[in-house]
Amino acid sequence: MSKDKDKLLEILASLEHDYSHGKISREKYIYFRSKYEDRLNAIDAREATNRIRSMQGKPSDSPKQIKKPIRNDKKVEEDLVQKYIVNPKKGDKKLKEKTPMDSTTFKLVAILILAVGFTVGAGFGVFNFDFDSFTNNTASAIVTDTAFPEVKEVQVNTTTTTSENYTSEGSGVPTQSSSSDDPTPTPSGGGGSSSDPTGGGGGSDPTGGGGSQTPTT
Amino acid sequence: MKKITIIGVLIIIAVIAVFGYIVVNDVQFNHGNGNSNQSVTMLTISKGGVTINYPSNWVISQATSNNSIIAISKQSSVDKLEVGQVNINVEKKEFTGSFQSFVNRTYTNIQADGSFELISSGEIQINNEKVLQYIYTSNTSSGVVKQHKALWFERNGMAYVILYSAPIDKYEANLAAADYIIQHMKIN
Repeated sequence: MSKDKDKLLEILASLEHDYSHGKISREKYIYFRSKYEDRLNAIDAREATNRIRSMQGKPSDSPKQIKKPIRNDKKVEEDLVQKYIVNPKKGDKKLKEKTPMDSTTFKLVAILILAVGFTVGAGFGVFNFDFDSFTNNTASAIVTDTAFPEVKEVQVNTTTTTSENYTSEGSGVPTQSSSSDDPTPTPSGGGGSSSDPTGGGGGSDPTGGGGSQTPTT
Repeated sequence: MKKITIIGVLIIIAVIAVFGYIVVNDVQFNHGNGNSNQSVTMLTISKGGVTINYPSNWVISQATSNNSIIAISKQSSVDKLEVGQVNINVEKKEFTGSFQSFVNRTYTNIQADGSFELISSGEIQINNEKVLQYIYTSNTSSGVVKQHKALWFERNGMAYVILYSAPIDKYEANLAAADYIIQHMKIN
């Protein structure tokens, strides 16, 4: 009886070991553990019952009757172990894949990602960079516009004009009068519209004509 | 696990690449200056304490004025003689008396010249700074009538003026781009 119990405990220990090393999944571990624990409990219960019976003076269960189902259980256990628990061979590729990444691998991957990302980003940026924005500082045009233009100086023109007036007495001495802003000297005779110094119209006839030039007979 | 790692790596690389492209390369400039669909790169130039962010379809120019600090011209407006017709010219000049009277005096002189005609004048705000704005036209020696927008402000005892000039028929078309450049200009 105790041999069965020892064996069960041994299997449980082996199960624990396999689980801690990642050889079996959590589901399988929980399943088998509960199964073996149930059996252990059953053995304990049987032992307790036998002890009580012996104390009461009753014969305990025959070991032959107990051994048979244990043997069957053993076979079932072995079948289950062979079916589900597979001891991996050395150099098995599947085992390598299941190995979780350690911190060094993570660091290497992170550095690799940063390096590749930096190289690609910088390369792409340099490839598309417009270097003209920094190198082309030379003037390529001329600007003639200015807010301080050279304006023409404002000049006030003061001109002196001379006009000659002829008197009706025919003295022939012209009188001069000056006026500003009249650049051309105009002889004024009466109306001042005639420039004929010999007498033209408008009472400026030095010959004493009445305004119309008619030949005298 | 392996697939997830590969996908993760690819996503990270893609994100870094896109980020690098956006940050390093350029900012798309789609401003309404006649060609709203045109994609233009923004460039930067600093000279004499003036920093201009200008679109790549404008070029740096050499101003004939002695007061000029920096000038740029629209590339398409540069003629065969390499003279820019659509320009922005930043100038500065020392002045005596009050700033207001200095500016007024300048335009009194300009108005006395028949080739200049003042359209409007007033005070506006650009980037929370009060500036004097004068808009006027001028007849150039080549016979082209140009319209100008002069923005005057005082800085460190100097009179600064940002002058946007364009032929009168191209003035409105380029005004938005010019205003954008002016608003993003930095003067120390």
